[in-house]
Amino acid sequence: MKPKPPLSVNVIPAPVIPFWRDVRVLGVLAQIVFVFAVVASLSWIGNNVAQGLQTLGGAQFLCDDGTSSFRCAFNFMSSAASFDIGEKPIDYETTDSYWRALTVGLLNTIKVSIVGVVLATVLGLFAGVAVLSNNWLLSRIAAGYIDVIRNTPLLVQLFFLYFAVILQLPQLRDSLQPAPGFYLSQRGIALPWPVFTPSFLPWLAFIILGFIQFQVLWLLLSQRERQTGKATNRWLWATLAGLIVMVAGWYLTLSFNTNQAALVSRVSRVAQAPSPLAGLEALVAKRLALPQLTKEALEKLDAEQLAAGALQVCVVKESPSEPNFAAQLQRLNLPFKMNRFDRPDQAGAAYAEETCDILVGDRSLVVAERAALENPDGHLLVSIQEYPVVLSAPKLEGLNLVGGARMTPEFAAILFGLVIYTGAFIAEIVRSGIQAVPRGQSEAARALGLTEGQRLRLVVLPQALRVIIPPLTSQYLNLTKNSSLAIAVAYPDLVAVTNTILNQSGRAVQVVVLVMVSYLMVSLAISALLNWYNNRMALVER
Amino acid sequence: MNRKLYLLLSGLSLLSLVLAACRGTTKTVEVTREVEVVREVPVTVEVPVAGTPAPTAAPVQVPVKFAEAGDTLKTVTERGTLLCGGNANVPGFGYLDPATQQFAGFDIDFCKALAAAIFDDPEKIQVIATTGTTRFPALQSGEVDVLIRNTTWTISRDTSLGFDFGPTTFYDGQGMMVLKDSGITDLAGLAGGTVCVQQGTTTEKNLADVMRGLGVDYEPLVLADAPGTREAYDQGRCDGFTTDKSGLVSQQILLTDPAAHVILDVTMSKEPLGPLVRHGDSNWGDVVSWVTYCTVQAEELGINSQNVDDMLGSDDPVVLNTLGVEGDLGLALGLSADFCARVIRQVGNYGEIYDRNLGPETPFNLPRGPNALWTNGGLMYSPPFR
Repeated sequence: MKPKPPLSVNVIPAPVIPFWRDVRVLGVLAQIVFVFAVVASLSWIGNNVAQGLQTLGGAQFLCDDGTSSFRCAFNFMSSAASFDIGEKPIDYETTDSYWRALTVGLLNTIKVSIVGVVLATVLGLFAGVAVLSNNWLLSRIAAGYIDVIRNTPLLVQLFFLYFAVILQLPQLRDSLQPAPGFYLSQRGIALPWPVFTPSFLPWLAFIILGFIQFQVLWLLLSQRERQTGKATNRWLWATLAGLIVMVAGWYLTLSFNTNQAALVSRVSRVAQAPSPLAGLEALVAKRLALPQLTKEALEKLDAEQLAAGALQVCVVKESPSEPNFAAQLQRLNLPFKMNRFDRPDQAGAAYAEETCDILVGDRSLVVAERAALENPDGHLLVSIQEYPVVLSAPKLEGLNLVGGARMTPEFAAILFGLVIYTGAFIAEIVRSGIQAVPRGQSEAARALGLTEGQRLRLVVLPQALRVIIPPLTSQYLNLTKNSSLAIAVAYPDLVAVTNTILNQSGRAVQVVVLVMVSYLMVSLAISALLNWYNNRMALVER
Repeated sequence: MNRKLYLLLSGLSLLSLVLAACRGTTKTVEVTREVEVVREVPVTVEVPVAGTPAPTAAPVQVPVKFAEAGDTLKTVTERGTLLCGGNANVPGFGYLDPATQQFAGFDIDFCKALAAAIFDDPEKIQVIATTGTTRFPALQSGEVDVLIRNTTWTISRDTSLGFDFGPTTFYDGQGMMVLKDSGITDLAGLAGGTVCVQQGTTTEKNLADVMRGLGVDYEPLVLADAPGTREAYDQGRCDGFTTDKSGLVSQQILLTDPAAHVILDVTMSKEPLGPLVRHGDSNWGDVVSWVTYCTVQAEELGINSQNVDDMLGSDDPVVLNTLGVEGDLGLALGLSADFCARVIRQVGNYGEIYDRNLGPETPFNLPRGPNALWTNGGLMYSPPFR
């Protein structure tokens, strides 16, 4: 028997795929090529920079010893900036280094960003909710705001806000004064602001004591109420007790502290009067040839007479003595002029030259200046009361307002520009977030009998927040980065200050690197914060 | 589908790689060429013997080896236009005339003079408007060939920024403008006030230095460009407006009520303004310098655009040398021998340029002051053309 031929299996030979059609090979190849392309473009850019720096020469990297090295690329930042900055959150003089100037700029950027982020969120939330409102007018206004603002460039809005709105406010001399002490003009908004003197600390102890008193009395009264069942006015008694402690503390602090003193000459006879203030009053009244310093009598005098007779006060600039003493003189209607000096010895010298009638300051300072006088016996020390807190009111002096708190028009322009612009984008994010919450949730909330406010606050917004936070992060970053347009409205932010540094030092590459690093730090901090918040808010799933 | 995508991607990346490589490896071909120029120099020899006939000028052949014209001049000549960094916002110096949509001004005229010297056509310029901040990078990166934009000559700009300055075309100083009825008469009067400053100049530093010296406290309001600074001052945001006096004069006529403002009689700095070029191309620097000097020299010699063609037939060898009728001073620069004649014919001498842009016929009516010729007590002085 013939053996059976082996079963022929029809094996289809595996087709040989050429490598250029092999997906795996091509995949690897494409990646290699891509890496090459990236490396090549990067090295081309780097080469360009290096060549540019070469052309500029070694002066760009000058070390202190005159040699030139990349290590010394940032050495120039330690030299004196010698330019002024309009707004400075920290002390800054023209003799400070470029580093300090950069810090001032960075702090200005952070300041406008933080305030901007808060206000833009509030505005965006309101506009986003309003656009979904059933109130036709409200929703149309919100929609109009969002559409107009989102579709015009920020720079144009900033120019409009600064040049066409804020700078059109009245001049400083014709300031709007909605309330005494408030000034609204094209030089900004100025308002009274509390100043804390050194004796605020002891008074703070009394405030805390007052709160404890309030708590204790409240608990005691509550206990008695429970025991006797008779209603007492817990609020009234507890608050009253707390306030009594605070007020008593105020007067105690006032009478026991001897921080402030003043120097007057013996011939002025101020020190011999029953109180220094009464003595000063008599002095000025005599000089103005008035029997008494009443408001009516003073109003009859013209500005020139008032200026000639005004009490000349010498004081160190930005010390708490100034608003403290000014507040006391104002209460007496005493016409006075503050002569401010940068250093105590300048104030002392001015007093010695009889520029002023009285030198006011910390007791130690006044004693030291008295000792430095030629004839210390001819001058007497008087005590001045020091209030724990004084309200410093802005006052027009020369070309500017002195005292109080002031918001410059430049800060206002960049702040409101950023808030209005970013608010429109946040409104859209809020709207979409709210709409992403299923309708059933709202219906369920209504079915439970929640009010509209409760529905929004307790049911819809917490769920919408999960959708809102990630895009919100990028809006916050946008706001921060958009603040670099501040130079257009003369606000000295990071870019404005570093531009000056760049122009003055000519170190373009180094300065731009510093600006990029600064923004990177701020942006990373913001994202880290919001990522943390996002993780906290995210739905915890198992 | 996927494979096609990969192919496409890899193709694209390859292409970009090749392109990048092309950009990176382009080498400038350096050509060294020696130009042999034969020059005739007339030499007169005084012979102390009476009676002998005066010797005729003996022609001496001097072979002169000229330096190769620098890259910039070559680039400009090949391009056919001069890229000139200018200002669009300072009337009188560099200004985009809204009526004609053309750049005009004192600085622009020096751009035109350069173009006249190179191309024999003053209109072969392209003015690139730069701001105080962009002007230096523009020149450093080669975006412009020359920067003529009221820029102060300082040692740091000359050294660490990598520039070379040409001759000063305008001697200026920083001034201060205030409202007439503000009662401010000197810088101390600005105590506590706000001063508008334009960024990107030495102005900020000068102001800070002077005010610190006087012990005057003030707030600077720094804006990025001239129109913004002027607008803020015009609206009353600032008590003072400081920049170079030349700039103040030209900004003043753009204010709402120019007559209400006054420029204080204080000068806070020395501001010599002139053209500048990149450091390292000496030949191009020479071209810019000598074209500028040519306008001053011509004024001194009494050559102007009206009489330049008559002056070609002058007997004065100095005039003939300057205009290139005799000698070939221009060739050494890589220009034509008559480059100065071209400049004067088409743009005019220094005095004509000054009067056309800033003189009594203009709204500025700026006195020549230190910008008068040295022969009239000013500082304008050209080294000799010989």
